[in-house]
Amino acid sequence: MLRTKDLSYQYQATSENLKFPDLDISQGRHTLIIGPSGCGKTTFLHLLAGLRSPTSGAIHLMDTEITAMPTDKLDNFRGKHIGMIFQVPHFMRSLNVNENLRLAQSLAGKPLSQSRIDSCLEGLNLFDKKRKKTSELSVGEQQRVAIIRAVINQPKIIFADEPTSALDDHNTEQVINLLKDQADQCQATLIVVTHDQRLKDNFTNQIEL
Amino acid sequence: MSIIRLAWRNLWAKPLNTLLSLILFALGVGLISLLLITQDQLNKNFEKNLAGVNLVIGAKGSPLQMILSSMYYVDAPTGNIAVGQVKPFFNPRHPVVESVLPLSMGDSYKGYRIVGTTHEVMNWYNLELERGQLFKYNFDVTIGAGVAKKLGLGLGHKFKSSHGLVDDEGLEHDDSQDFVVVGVLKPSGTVMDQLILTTPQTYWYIHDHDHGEHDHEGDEGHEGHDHADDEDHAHDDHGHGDHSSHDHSHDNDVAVVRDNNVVISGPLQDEDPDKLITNILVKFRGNNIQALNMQRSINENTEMQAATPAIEITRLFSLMNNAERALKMLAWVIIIVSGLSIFISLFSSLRDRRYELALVRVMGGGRSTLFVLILLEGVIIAILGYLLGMVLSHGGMAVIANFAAEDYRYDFSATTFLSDEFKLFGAAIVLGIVASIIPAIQAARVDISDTLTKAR
Repeated sequence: MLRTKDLSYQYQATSENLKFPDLDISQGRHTLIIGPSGCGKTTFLHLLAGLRSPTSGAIHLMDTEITAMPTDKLDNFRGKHIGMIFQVPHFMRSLNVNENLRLAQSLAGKPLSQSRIDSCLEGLNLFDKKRKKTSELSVGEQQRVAIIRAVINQPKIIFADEPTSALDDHNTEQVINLLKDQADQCQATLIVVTHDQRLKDNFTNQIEL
Repeated sequence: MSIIRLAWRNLWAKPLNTLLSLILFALGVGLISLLLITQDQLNKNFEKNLAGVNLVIGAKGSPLQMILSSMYYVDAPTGNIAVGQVKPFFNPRHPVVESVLPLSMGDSYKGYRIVGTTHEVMNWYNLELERGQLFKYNFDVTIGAGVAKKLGLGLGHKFKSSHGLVDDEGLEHDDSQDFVVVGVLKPSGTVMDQLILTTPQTYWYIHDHDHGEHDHEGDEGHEGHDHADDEDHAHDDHGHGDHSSHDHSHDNDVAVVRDNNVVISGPLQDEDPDKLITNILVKFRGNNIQALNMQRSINENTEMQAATPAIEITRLFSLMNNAERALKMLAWVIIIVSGLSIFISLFSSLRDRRYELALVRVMGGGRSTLFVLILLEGVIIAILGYLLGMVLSHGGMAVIANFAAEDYRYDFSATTFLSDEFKLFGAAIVLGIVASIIPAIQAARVDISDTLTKAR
């Protein structure tokens, strides 16, 4: 499913060369990548999601070597197969909840399916917020919309960057369970990158950076 | 959720910035378009009203003023000339002159000019009667379609004229006879639509009555002659009374009832040579040396002046050209400023929207998607600005047309679109692209990973 080999990244010629452990994660095996702040967790995640190209090494995602793909193809591949969740959810401010989700569908080149959006919104109790601007939602609601956006196109893999570090214990538990549920529902592999020790109990497969 | 809709929503997420760019763009485009259509309409109007006139002869003064007053009815006439001075030109065997059209001016009714002329006017301006007949008796008037419509005048309606060319009750000729409408012309698209036509002799009757009492030096001999005329033709008048009521039987308007003492006057060249008219319009048999000499000889050897319409109009246009060029430059400056405003608002919005742009990439959009998105935002403003500008200019033209018809007897159209305006559309699109291409390139270059990392 996800394999990496000899991955390294150097921001500038003078700066430290970050080396990352080789991964071999099989389909459906949710994984927690945990490490202290400043150890290059986010960089690692961005490399895995193809948002940044490594200085050296190779990444194979679903038998495709994404490190060898041209940018535009990679963007398209990401839209179709990768779901992304960030620490702070961001949206198109000019669009409402429903339109943000429709945009995610159309940018991925998937056919628009309002019924898919509606059932996702209903599943997370957000159906009545459909026409609201995202800025009118609470942080918790925003994070749930972000989760829907990550799974709306039924990706094969979901990357979450510190999804819980801004949340209290109760919400942390909820969000992480929601993520795992949603990933299971679309048979996606969930990769969470965090320094949040609270998540340690939720994942059997863990990698320390 | 297409990219176009996203671009649209992004624009209206910042309504003030967008409106500013839009209004500037619309003002620039509107001004240019207004200049284009005004120029076009002026040209067309001047051409339509040229009516094949080769030479205008009238009292000395500004030749341009004479042309404007006698052919376009916008300025005051330069003065009057005596029938005797121009009599030779009425000779059908004149070697140079093919035909002439006499014009008498000076009075008006509710701002519409009353012009004394001959039936030749029908051929010169390709006029046709809508209903009724041509003026035949003095004080008969045949009115242009525009006059009939605007003043609600129909056959048989009577009115008194005012002295001068503006609508002024105080200058009404109270003691003169009533004019009576005997005919209405079909719309011709020429200045004739806005005129009231009658015989040249009518003017002499109005003014004889006027001045007879005040002017002690008034030529009694002539007055006597006029009155004699009155009596001579009294019988004719009665004979024709039946005619007019007969005419009425197939018209829906009020019966044409003339005053008892109006007469039919003979041809102008048979009249007293001291009587005055305002201008004659001349058509040449051909443009030969003799014709050219005629103009010079009139200007050098007589108390009159002769002017060529084409030359004077060209002179007028060259005078207007400078003002037009300055206005056009101003319009382009406004458009360029609006382009700059589009550029600045897109460019500054990029900083606020970096994260959103990165999100587009995360969700599967390519660099080209971002490029197109920003470009579209600029081009949409350009298209909307163009459309708004067109509404402004053609709406403005409709207003101008309204008062031009009243004040200048001009027939302007607000619904004529020019090929130059389509070119302007092309220019608007190009400007929209130019203004947004740098922000669009910036957007396409956004580094997603950096942006997502820093934007926390």
